[in-house]
Amino acid sequence: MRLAPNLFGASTSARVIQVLSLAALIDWLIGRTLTRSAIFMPKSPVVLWTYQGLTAVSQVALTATSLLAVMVLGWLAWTLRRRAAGLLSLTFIALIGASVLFIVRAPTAESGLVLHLLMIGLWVVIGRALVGSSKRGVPLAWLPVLGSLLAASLFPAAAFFAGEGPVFGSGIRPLFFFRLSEILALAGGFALWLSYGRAGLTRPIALLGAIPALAFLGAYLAQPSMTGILSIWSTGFTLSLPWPLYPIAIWCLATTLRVSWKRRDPAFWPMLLLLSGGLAPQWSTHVLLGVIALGLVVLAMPLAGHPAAVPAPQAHAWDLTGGQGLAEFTRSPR
Amino acid sequence: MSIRTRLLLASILGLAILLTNLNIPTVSSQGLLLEAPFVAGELPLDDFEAEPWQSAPPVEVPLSAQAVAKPILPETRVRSLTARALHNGTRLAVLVEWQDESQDDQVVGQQSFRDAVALQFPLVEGQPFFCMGQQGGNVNIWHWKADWEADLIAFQDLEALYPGMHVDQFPFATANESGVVGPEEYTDTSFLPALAAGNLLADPARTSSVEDLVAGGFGSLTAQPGASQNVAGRGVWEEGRWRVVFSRDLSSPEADDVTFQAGNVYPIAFAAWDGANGERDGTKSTSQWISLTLDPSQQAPAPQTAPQAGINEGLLFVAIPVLATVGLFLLLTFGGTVLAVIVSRRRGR
Repeated sequence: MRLAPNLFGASTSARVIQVLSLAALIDWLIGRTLTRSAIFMPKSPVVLWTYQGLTAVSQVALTATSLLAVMVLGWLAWTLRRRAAGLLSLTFIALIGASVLFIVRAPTAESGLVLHLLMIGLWVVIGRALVGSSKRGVPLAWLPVLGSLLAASLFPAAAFFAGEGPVFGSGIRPLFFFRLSEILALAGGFALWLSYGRAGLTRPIALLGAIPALAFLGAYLAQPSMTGILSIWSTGFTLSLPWPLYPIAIWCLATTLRVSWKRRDPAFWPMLLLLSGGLAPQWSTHVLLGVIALGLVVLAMPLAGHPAAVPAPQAHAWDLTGGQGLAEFTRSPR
Repeated sequence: MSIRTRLLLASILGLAILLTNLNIPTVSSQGLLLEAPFVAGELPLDDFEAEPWQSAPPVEVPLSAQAVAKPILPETRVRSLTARALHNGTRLAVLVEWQDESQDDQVVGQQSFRDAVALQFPLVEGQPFFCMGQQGGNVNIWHWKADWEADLIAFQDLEALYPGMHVDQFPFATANESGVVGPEEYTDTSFLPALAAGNLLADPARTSSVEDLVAGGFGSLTAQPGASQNVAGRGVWEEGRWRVVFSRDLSSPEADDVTFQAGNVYPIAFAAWDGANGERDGTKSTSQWISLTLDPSQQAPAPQTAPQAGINEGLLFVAIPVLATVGLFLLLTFGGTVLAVIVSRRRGR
């Protein structure tokens, strides 16, 4: 029986993933949310000085995120290769190459299309792995999340070929994939709550999760346009669906994260990475965060969100090769 | 946490700070890119179904309500528009299309507002505030107006809205037989102060449906003088859809005009107004900056003008790749060395 990984441990790989998640969180909350709210703030010297400082911090966080993401992706590629998952490993390596290449040469429409097609293939492969892992206890709740990322990659690819028109005469327009991505992202949040959050939900956690949900609700009802703009910048969500769905999804995700953290569920870190990457990745790094998150889900095989099914951390907590090799990553926390 | 792990993470943080301070990018973004292919000969400014337009890659640009400066209209109607661009080495044309159920091209009545669309280009390096620029970051705006388009066919005046109107007397003017007085009937144009002052809104003889303006932040919008109005436009409304083409020479000697060169990348932003929804002035739908690039196939030599906004790709392909490569090499070498040490020592145990 494969065990849940000790991503809460102190091994080098676990620490790198933890720091990556923290840096991505700072980039998201400060760089893409807080500092962008500055356009709505009075431009007094103190406010300007504060926002300039926050911007500097978020830029360092984004750079650190990009470096760590490439490292973790390289480590995942190496690990997958040793698990004889060569195709997935090669795809990860190709993603690393594309990320580095696009730094020195701005992506054109054609090269961007190649990347989107690569991502589509990657999501399909990961989807197959997830479905296979469901037999070992990986909740299928991750599939809507994967579907959302897949649809987000299909949108620009379809738009490249079809513009606004129907894709290859199918009657489906590219914008359909964009809308579908947002729908599946919200559905994924609810599904993750059912799998990881519901079992450990307590009243304090429920009240804690209500804080960000109510904050969003208040902002949306008071200033729907401003909230919509900030939402797009921060997360990629366009708020084009019925608005009650969004505070519900926020509550589901907030409580799920809190329950996962409390129970030291390895699924906490992939969820955090997915949140930080957002729905419509703005930078190459944000795309990689989703890949890393789902790669960890596949490799680490977190079990269903039932207390009885989660074993206590053991000496070989992250045995990714069925007991063969990679012993250095299976040390218990120091 | 082991010392090696701390060393690795500290080196990552140090490298991140170094790269950030040196402005060396480690991430890339494929933003919306509007590509203007080269077309030999005249640009198809009158035929929107022409093959060059069909071949030009369209970009769907999302718009959202302007929500920074009051008055604010929370829900504007134009949610997106489609843009295409062409150039022939001497002239640039941009075609924009968007959905609009009503053709609002008459603004004679106080309760009437026009449909309109605008393009915006920065006049400085980088991207100033996407909505009207900012102090020290002027923008050049090409503003197409539906009523100006209608005026090109027949100038609209009060009688267009109130056909049965009658004016008793216009001072210092002689009415024609129909009792209507136009600017040509005034014996002294001094009594048309707006026209005499060069106000384009009052000019019945304008030759373009596009107004060329400059702005440097909210409330600073300024029309360029009549002699500097060099942007042509044409708009057609059909079956709930507007299609508007802007065209101008790539180069312009005016300091307040953006100048284009093939091969460079220029920020461009869009705004649209639905008159039926009461949208006017700052109550509009706007986009973020996207990128416009002109196919560097052929272009006539540009006259010497003041430096304009644009990215010198020579720098991009020389200094930055070198520094980025060095940085990444250091990262991979150092990180790989540390990991190798970790692996080897653990195997030795």
